[in-house]
Amino acid sequence: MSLLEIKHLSVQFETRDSVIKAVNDLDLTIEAGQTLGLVGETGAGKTTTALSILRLIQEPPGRIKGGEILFEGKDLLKVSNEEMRAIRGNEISMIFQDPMTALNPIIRVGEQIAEVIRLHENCSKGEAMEKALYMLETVGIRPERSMDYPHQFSGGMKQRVVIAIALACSPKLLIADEPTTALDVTIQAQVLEMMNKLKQQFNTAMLMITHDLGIVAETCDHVAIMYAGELVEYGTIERIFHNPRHPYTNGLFGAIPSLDKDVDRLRPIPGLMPDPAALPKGCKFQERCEYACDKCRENAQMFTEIEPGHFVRCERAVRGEI
Amino acid sequence: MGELIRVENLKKYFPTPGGMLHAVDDVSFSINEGETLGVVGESGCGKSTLGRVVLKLIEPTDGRIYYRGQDITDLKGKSFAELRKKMQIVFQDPYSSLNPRLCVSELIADPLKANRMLDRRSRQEKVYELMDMVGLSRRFAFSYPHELDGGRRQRIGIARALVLDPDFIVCDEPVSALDVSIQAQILNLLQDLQQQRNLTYIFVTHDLSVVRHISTNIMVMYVGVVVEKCEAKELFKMPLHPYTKGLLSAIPIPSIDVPRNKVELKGELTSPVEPKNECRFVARCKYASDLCRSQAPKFEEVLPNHFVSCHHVKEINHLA
Ligand SMILES: Nc1ncnc2c1ncn2[C@@H]1O[C@H](COP(=O)(O)OP(=O)(O)OP(=O)(O)O)[C@@H](O)[C@H]1O
Ligand SMILES: Nc1ncnc2c1ncn2[C@@H]1O[C@H](COP(=O)(O)OP(=O)(O)OP(=O)(O)O)[C@@H](O)[C@H]1O
Ligand SMILES: [Mg+2]
Ligand SMILES: [Mg+2]
Repeated sequence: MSLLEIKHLSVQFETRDSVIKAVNDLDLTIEAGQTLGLVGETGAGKTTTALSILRLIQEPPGRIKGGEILFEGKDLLKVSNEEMRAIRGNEISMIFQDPMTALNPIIRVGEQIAEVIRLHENCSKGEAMEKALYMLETVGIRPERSMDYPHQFSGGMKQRVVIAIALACSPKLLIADEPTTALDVTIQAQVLEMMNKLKQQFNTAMLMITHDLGIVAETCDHVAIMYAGELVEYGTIERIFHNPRHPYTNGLFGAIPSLDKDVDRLRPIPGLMPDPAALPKGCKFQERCEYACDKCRENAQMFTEIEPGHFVRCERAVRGEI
Repeated sequence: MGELIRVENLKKYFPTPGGMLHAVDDVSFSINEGETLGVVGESGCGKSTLGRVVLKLIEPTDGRIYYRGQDITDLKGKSFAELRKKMQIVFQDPYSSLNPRLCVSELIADPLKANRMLDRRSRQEKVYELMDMVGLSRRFAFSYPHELDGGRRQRIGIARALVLDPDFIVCDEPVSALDVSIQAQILNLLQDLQQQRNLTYIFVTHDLSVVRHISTNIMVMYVGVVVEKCEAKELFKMPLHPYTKGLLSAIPIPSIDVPRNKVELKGELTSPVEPKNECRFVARCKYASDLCRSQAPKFEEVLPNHFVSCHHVKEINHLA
């Protein structure tokens, strides 16, 4: 049994004049102790997927239209609110993009961590504080700084506190939504290194949401590429980096400036993602794809296994025409 | 190609409860016409402040600024207003830097209006001309910023910066809020415009692959000072300052085949408030010596056109 298995998940946002199909019939699996990278451009549905796992989609306007989210075999979409609260933080934690929103500005850092521990482990205040200090040390912050308030910390330190809170209850699954975009590379390197260490120490599985392929290369075991609410490619890190097959995946690799090769012009993927309130028939990527043919505009594309464990949603790629 | 901008010993200090904060501390450089100076460095090291001081959006505490050889540091009033048109800025966050109550066409025409330039009809023509130039379809002329995506909003920001026909633009993290594909579109646009109009840029960013791609020269800042400056490609081939080395080795590379040898930078950032007479990188530097703790290093030309401020740069890099 996989740790997390998402099957046929569909989520939409219903506003007064339109229905935004944010996630469409999504399948995703994460094994214990493994890190899955979820990659895709703005609006692809990455955060919506993550929030669905924790059942934190705001309803309305959001609505989970269908599917299952099996966590250790149990469907999270069916458990009671009470049970869900126990799972959040205890077994699944999430790190949000902006560390400041996750911290309370008027409570000392140490107390904030201790509070989370106390709630989840039902232990005494003293025991909780002891563990909080240990967690601070684990993320590389000296325990005596536990008396500081969040604003006395730099961006990188705040993010490490958020990570300490997320890991305080040794979750089985950690969801990290662009955890380092607010940080610069030297601090980012420290944070990623620490997350890797903790992952090994606690055998935590991770869903790493990012659009930085460099971060994916450094942290992930598997990669899922998402476009307009669907997965378009999935495979091990080796498959995705050595043998990317979907034109969108190739477009992502082509758009980043290189650190060692000189090019006069970058090659962006032309155009924009389709309006999620008016998705085209057939392949969702057709308007931006140099290989699109009549069939692509007609037929919905199947997610097909082209080699063991490597899936692609592009019929031309599957047929080897690209 | 002549020199367009030169700054000498530029300083910008801010008063804070704990004392003077040295946001920019004794920075000198020049930029030739048609070239791009990339500015990189950690969050809070003074990149944006530097850009603003050079444009005189804020007054320098000390130092001189020259535009085409003319000292503009103390220029005020009417003569400066003319010059202002030649020097513009593009901001990082296209969301918060645009007035939400103006539509695209009003936003682009706004600088013309503020300078009482052109009549209404010619202004509208100019707006369309610019929309074409930055690749914004004319059908968005009457859309509001919140109805557009980040890439299009950044195109508005660029069109606004161009409308007064400047020759110098400070781009303050213009692509940091965008994802890789839109980022590539905007970078191409900035490069095309530079070629067509012989523009000179200061390009502030913390993305090192972006800065390598777009810059002629790169300046690396650390807590208010410049620690290294040289030609863009050379910086990546031969970083000489220990901070630059750490910075470059920390970039996550989108490849799984390159063995990484990271120079980990431990320790905390030095405070920019009332800094001591020492090297500002001393707390994180593995080569730090007593000399580094007792005297700030000078910014010196170590190799031809390659400047570094580090007492031990020669030993560290085995240079004669
Ligand atoms: N509360 C909401 N109301 C209406 N639409 C929403 C809401 N939340 C998300 N959406 C829409 O759902 C789609 C998916 O959004 P989501 O935030 O999941 O994307 P993402 O992949 O996380 O993007 P980003 O990289 O920008 O974080 C988008 O079109 C978005 O506009
Ligand atoms: N108006 C101000 N008053 C006081 N301090 C300021 C002011 N503006 C900037 N600073 C301080 O000056 C230093 C440099 O800030 P600046 O915004 O130039 O950094 P930056 O390199 O652009 O950072 P980032 O990458 O986060 O944009 C910081 O320590 C900042 O807190
Ligand atoms: Mg998101
Ligand atoms: Mg800045």
